[in-house]
Amino acid sequence: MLKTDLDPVPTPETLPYWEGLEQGKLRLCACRACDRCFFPPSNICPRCTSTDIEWRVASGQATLYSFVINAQADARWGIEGPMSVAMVKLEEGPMMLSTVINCPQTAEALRIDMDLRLIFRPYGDLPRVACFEPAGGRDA
Amino acid sequence: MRKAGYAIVGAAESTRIGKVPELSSMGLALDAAANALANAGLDAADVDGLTTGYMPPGNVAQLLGMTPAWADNTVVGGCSWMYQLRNAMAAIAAGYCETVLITYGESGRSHGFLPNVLDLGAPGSIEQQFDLMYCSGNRTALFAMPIARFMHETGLSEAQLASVPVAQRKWAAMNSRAKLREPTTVDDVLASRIIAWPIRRDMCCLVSDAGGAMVVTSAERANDFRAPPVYVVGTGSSMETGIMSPAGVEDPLRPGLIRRSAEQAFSSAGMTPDDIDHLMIYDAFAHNPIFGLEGLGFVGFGEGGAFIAEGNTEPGGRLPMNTNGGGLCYAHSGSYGMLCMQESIRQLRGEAEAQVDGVCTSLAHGWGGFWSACATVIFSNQRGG
Ligand SMILES: [Zn+2]
Repeated sequence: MLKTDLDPVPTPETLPYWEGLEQGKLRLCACRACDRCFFPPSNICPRCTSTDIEWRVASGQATLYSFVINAQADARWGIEGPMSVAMVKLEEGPMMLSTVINCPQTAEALRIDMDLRLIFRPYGDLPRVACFEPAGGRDA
Repeated sequence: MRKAGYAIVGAAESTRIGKVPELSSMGLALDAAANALANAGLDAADVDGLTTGYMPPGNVAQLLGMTPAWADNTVVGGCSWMYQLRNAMAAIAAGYCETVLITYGESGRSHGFLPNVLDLGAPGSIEQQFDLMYCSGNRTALFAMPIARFMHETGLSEAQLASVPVAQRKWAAMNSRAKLREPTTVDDVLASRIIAWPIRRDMCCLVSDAGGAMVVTSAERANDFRAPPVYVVGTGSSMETGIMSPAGVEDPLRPGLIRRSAEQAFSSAGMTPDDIDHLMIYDAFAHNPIFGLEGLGFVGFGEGGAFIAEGNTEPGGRLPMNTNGGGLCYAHSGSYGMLCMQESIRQLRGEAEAQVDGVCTSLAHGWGGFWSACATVIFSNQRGG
């Protein structure tokens, strides 16, 4: 089978993202030229190719664009049984891959366009990675 | 149809496919190359261009005993060999070479996927930092990401999704080289275990050993070879995101990369979907043919699932599709683009095991990575013009 080291390896361009998570912040790159956030982090705006980039802290508000329910979570998540993989649309505009937890991992509980909020959860040796839960709270 | 500039004058798969433990990936590529050269009536030394996927062209050249003037190792995922065909045509047009051998071999089942595939999730890459962690390394999940929303917006049902392998099993039943030939039902497919909901095991491609190779040259030389020529009448390609980074796709339900590759192919061929007799859409998972039918323009948005479930792509249907059984039922060695084109060529030569009557045009569409790259190739047994 394909093998990849699943522990994320930051690059100089993405390091502030990973450092932000350690501090409990989801940082996004924003282009000053077109005043838009983008993801994943980069030194170049993918919309206008500007190099005038700053970091902003995401509000944590998001909606669920789409998802699958993975039959088996990697042990580093410390989650037994199925675990969702979600395309999450951040309030600031960008889409990112994440997971929606703290609710049943079923097609009934995970509703397209449902409101989400940012939470942090350990993954392996990383103390905090960006995850989401229903904005109504646990088991909403 | 415009007059074609290039022709496939030799094509073959490896002698055996499926479970071939006696050959490495390289061995499968060389076996297919030898078969394709024999099909064309050529010696390796007659060929002055070479393409390989995931393998150093120099190693392939050395083992085949050839000294190519031009070589290419473009890798964009499963449709790499479609990209390589386009590159070969450009190299011929530029005068770098006259006759190109395109080679593929992958021992996906017996000896593992090709080594360079591992680099597609290389440390520090987009997907290794931001995607693979969330899917726990289960790549099926990444390719399947848009389906739930697609179901929500279009009404695609799980039963319609399950009808894709059911339809393709009917083609595979007629093909002695296909792995899965027993009839199956929607209920059977829906009873198979969940890999990443809504994708179940029977909606996932096989894991096989296979090779394929083809010889391409200018259409002016097409009749100088042993095999009946198959003309390349239109091609297109498009890239959008990292190899496994679906969150970066601009419109995941109507992926622009399919549409752009199709528009180029149809416009360069001077054709429309109505002109296509036979269709191959790379089916790594059951939803790929649905998204492909829509993106290529054969059906409208949200109509692909019903189109397949109603039998239009089955034996006797009005748009025969994936007639070898596809990656779901025939073989899938990790990168299926070459095998997709091989079935188009067999159908156009009248040599397929599940031969469709009166095929004059065939379109082969391939994915590279999961929503990363697309390529479309339109073939004909007529030169056109
Ligand atoms: Zn910008």
